[in-house]
Amino acid sequence: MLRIISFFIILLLGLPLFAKDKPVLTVYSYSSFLSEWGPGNKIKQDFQTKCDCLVNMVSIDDGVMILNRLRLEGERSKADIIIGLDTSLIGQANKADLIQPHQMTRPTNLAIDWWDKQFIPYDYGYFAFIYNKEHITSPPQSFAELLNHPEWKIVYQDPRTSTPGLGLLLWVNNIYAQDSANIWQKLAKQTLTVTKGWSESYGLFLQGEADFVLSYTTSPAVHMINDNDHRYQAAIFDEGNYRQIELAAITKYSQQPELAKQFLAFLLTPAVQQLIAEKNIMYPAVNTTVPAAYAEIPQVTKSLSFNENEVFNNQKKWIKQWQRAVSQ
Amino acid sequence: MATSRQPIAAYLPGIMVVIFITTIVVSALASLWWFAFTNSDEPFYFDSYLWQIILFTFIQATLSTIISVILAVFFAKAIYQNHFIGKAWLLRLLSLTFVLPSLVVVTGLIAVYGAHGWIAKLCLYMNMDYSFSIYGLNGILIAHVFLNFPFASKYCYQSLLLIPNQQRQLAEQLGLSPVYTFRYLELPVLIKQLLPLSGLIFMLCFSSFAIVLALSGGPKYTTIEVAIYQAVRDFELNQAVILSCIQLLFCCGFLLLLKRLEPKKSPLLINNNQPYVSRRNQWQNYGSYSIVAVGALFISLPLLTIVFEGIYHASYLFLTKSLVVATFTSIIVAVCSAVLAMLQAILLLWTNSRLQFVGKNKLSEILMLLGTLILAVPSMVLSAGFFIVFYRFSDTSGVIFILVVISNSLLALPFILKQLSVPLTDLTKQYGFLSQSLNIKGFRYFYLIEFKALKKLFVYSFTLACIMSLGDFGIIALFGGQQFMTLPYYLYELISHYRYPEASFSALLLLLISFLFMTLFEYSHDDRT
Repeated sequence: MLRIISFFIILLLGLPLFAKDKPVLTVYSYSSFLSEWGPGNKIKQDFQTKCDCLVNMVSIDDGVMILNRLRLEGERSKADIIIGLDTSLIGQANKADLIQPHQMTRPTNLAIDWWDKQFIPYDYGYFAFIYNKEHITSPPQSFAELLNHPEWKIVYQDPRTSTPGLGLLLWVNNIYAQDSANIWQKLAKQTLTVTKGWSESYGLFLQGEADFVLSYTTSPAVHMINDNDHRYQAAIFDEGNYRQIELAAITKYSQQPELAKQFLAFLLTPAVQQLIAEKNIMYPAVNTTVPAAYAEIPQVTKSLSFNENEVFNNQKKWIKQWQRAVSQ
Repeated sequence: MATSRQPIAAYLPGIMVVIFITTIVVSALASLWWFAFTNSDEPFYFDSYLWQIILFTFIQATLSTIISVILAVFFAKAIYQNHFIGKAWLLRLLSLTFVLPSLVVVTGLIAVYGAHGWIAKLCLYMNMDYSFSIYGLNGILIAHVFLNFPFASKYCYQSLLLIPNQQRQLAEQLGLSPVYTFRYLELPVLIKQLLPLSGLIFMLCFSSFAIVLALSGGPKYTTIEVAIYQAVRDFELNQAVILSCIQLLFCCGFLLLLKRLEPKKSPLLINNNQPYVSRRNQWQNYGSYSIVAVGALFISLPLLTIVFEGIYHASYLFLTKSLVVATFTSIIVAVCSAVLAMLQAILLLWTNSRLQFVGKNKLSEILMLLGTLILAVPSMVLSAGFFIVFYRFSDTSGVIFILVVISNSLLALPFILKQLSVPLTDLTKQYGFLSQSLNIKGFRYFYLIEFKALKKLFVYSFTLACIMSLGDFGIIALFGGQQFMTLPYYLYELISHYRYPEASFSALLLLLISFLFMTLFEYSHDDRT
């Protein structure tokens, strides 16, 4: 036993000592991007074979925490690249002044109408309510329809603690603006519960506790790919579904700006984009082949979004409004 | 008393531990505070919603604590009084609910009480209407009772074992009714042991939040910990620091209140080897057996769903390299954390019992409070503070390992202290003078007197610390990640990638390892004395 333990400790202590002579590119990303089912590891390997450098992937909870980590570390941060902030976080990131312009030209094969001097989009998706089509035979076509069925139970995530939860907050405010407090109260009557994160709520949904769960339009594809299970569907709303774009950027204090630029360009190559669509289960940012299951997913008819200032200036106000409305 | 003067060696160990703990906690908090102060211009706000949260947090924590403890007394008494097949198994189960990740607990409870749970299916089969909803206050209470009541029962059971059998015999010869026996023999012992435990349960429920959120039915019922979590996420560190001070204040207040309630005079506690079974009539027998049955069902049903799910989905294909590595990392972290926690507890208690021996109760109280206080510090604030102090080393796995072990040991410490403090103090009161006259000191005293007398409790405390550290992943979320993965962390990753069969298998594995720890240590300390 002692031998195993000491072996382990030596192994753990020794890992960072290998091969220091090559330049090291440090990338911060969220944990599911870097996990063994995410695209992170393959991207790292592929880039390393091209760049004659080492890529050090650091996994951090989620986009918000990546931003916080940068804020905590300030100019002493080792991060060169961050992957995983989304469009609703740009305002905060800009205010904290942590990013440098990437100086890349807009690719001609970009699949979305979004480009920025500081951030590059690497994938995108739409928030949607997922249902089981064996239980819900006439799915709602709009928020109004969803809220017109008092017997439907809905589970979503807390916007204070979760990214999709915040997405719903933006979605509702985008459609209903002044009237959203009213909508929250209506939704509250059908809400089974609000969970801390996505995992808990999706679990409740799969256990049959709720009829609808807030997730992404692409979520059903995973069930098709993993288990050949075609029961789950995303409800597409006539008013539109809120779009989330995931972003990568070069940090302000990066020691390797050239290498970092190469890496961002690499992220947008069709091969990597294909990998992201396959393993991050989001739409690729440039035109490329997507997994076959994506063909089965209904297309979003109208894409909704705010610009970063609208999010930045209103987020706290909207959260308070939500709190008040659902606590009554 | 001339003999009551203690050499410096008696104080040093405890003081060292307290300095170690407070240095870590205070430096983490202070650095966060300092950072918040210098880097943020956000004003602190205190609105009516926050008041509502604080009030609700307090109410649910109080209710959860009271229900858990009262049920625990009845359940423990029923287990104590009866011999039945599977008693040893049940006793081992009692510490398990404590260690499960919140996600697994919620899943287990929903599988039993949910709209399509076992009870609902049973009702449907019997053509009965099942309208119970596990969401809202009752869900929160069920979850908190499910988490804390079994542990409290185990603790009560051990307390009952501490009542000398001679006293029970005497009570029986005097013809005391069960009510009177409870009132005069058992209640004083239980109160002495349960009040400090109530403090721990209160703090756990006060700061619980993933479970509260999942079962609350909405933000109408949230805890102050959510507000703190949100403040850290929004980088309103001032707000986070002030809110965690409020939380700290509430928890300290509750602990002091409990201290006030503690009776001044209390019986001495010594461990018996066998429970004493008194004579009872048929009805009393039926009553206590049904309490055992209901309690055992309440604890085991959600666990059984985890087991069934795990077995149903089990496949050797799931034994991937990552799972094996995560499992080994967890076990090694758990054992190291437990060793460190035991070391701290023994040193701290060494000084504590000697302080009590010479009547320095105030000092002893402060010592124990400092050992417990870490539970009242929100984990998010603690990890953020830890991070500011140590982030320079955050990409060195060795340092992460040490940090994780230290923080796990600090979190397990309060529970070990509660287990051991009263019996150790009583032992010192009993054998203090004798061992002084025989010149038994230092390590020899610890081994001959304390360890030999309370071997079972020591081993149990160690095991508890092990399984508590197995299930915890608080700080790893901030530091760890791919290069340092424990089993609970891996479990969350599986779920966030829609790998449900593998996840249920991993949850089963986590449960099995905890159970194995419990069993292994029980057999390894076969009493030969």
